[in-house]
Amino acid sequence: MSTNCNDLQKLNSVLDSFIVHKTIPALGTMLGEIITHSIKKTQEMSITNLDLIISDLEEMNVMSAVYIKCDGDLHMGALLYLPENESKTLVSKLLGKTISNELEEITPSSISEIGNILTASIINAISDDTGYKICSSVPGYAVEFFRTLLEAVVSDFGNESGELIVSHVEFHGLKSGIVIRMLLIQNPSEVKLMV
Amino acid sequence: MKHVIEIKMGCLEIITNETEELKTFVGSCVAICLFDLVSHVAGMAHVMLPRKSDGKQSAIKNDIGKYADEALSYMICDMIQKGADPKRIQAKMAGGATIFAHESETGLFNVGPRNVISLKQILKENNIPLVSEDTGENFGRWVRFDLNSGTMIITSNLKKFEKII
Amino acid sequence: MSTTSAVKVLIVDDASFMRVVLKDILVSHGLVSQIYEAGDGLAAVEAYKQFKPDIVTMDVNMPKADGIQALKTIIRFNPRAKVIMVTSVEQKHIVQDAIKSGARDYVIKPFDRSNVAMVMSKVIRSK
Repeated sequence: MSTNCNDLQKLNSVLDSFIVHKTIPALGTMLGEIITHSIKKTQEMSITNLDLIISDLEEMNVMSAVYIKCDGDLHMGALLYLPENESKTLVSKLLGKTISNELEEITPSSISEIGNILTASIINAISDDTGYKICSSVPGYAVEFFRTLLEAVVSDFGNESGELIVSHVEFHGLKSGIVIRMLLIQNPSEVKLMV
Repeated sequence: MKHVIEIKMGCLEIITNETEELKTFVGSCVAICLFDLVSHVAGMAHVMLPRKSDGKQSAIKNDIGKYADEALSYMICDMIQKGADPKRIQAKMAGGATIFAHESETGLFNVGPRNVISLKQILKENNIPLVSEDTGENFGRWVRFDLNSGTMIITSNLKKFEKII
Repeated sequence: MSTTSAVKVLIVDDASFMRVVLKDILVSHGLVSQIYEAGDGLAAVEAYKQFKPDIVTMDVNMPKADGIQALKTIIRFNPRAKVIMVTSVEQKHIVQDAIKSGARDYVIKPFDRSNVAMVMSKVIRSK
C-alpha cells in the first residue's frame, strides 16, 4: 500500500466537504427534497481484492448504473447505481410523473443524467478548490450485477498500478426513502494532488 | 472434486494437474485460456487491457495477466517450460463485453471489444488456433476451464444461462 | 426576428431526458412556439442550417462533436446566432471558452426553472 492512513483520512474529509457543498444541493434540487448522505472510509485497495467491497445487497440485486470517467489534471472514475427495480421510482420523482411503463424508455437517459450532474458537482468542487482543469466523459449506462459493473469500471479506468483509491458514498432522499450509491475511484499517485 | 483456482483481475495461473479447474469472472475483461491437453498444461489470464504501453515487463507475477500482450507472452513461455508443446497449444476465450453504453453512441466504452481484437491478433501472430469463444454482448460471465476435458463453461447470472464451449 | 410568441428553439443535448425537461420549462413558461431537437454537435449544426431557429440551447458535453465545436460552427454560419450553453460542469475555463466563442449566456444543471426561463427571455429579447 503506497498511501498512508493520514492522507486517506484527509482525502475522505475533502471528498465529504465537496459532496456537502455541491453534490447534496444538486441532488436535492433534482429530487425536490432534503438529501442526507454517508461516506464510508476511503481506502486503498488492490484490484485483486475488489470482492471485499461487494456487499450482499449488491451481490443479489441487478443495478441500474451510470459510469463517468474524468480526465485532465486529475483522473477519477465515478459509478452511480441503485437497484434496478427502484430506478423507475427515481425517474418518476425527477419528472414529477406517476410511475408507469412510459417511463421505461426514458429511464436510462434519466439515470445517466443524474450521474452526469452529480459527478460534475464533485469535479466542479475540486476545480473551485484546487484550480485543476478536469473534464468528464459522456455517461455510459448499464443494467447488471454490481460485480460486472465494478469490473468494467476498473478495467476502463485503466490504472497503471494494481492499486486504486476507493470511496463509497450513499445518498438518501429523506422524504422518498430513495437510496442512490456512488463509487469514486482514483489513482493512488494522485491523492497528494487532492490533499 | 475439482480444486478450483480463482483468478483475480489482472492475474494469471498455469496448472498441470487435471484435478484442478481455473475460474474467473469477466465483464469487459477477457478470460483467455491456453491449453495443451496431451501434456496436461493449461493457463488462464484475466486480461484487462489490450496492450502494455511502456514495454517493461511487470515486476510481480500478480499483475502479469493485466495486458493481453504481456499475459500471452508469459503464458506461452511458462507453459512450454512446464512441458507444453508450442505446436499443440490451443486457445479459448470468453468475455470482452461492452457493459456500459451511451444512449446514442454505443461504441464509446469499448475496452471489451478492443481486448478481444488484441488477443485474437496476438494468437494469430503466435500461430495459436482459437478453438472457441463466447465474447462480446453486454453482460458479465463466470468462466471455468477444466484441464481434464478441455471444456470452458460459461455462466451468466443476468441472462440465466450456462453454456459449454 | 419572430415575436416571443412565435419563437423557434433548437434544443441540443445527448440526453433525451434533458431535452424533455427543457421542453417542459420552455413550454410551461410560454416562451416558444416551435421546438426542434438534436442529440449531438453534428446534428445540431445540420438542424440549425435546416430550421434556422431563433435560439439554441446547447449542451457542452456530447459525443461526436461537443457543444463548443458546434457553437463555433453555428456562429461561423450565422454570427448573430443566439446560443445559450447548458452545462453541468461549471469550470471557469469552459464557461469562458463558450462566451469567447460566441455564446450569449449559459445555464447550469440541475436547472433552476425560473432562472432558465429568465435567461431564455433575456436572450430572446436581445439583439
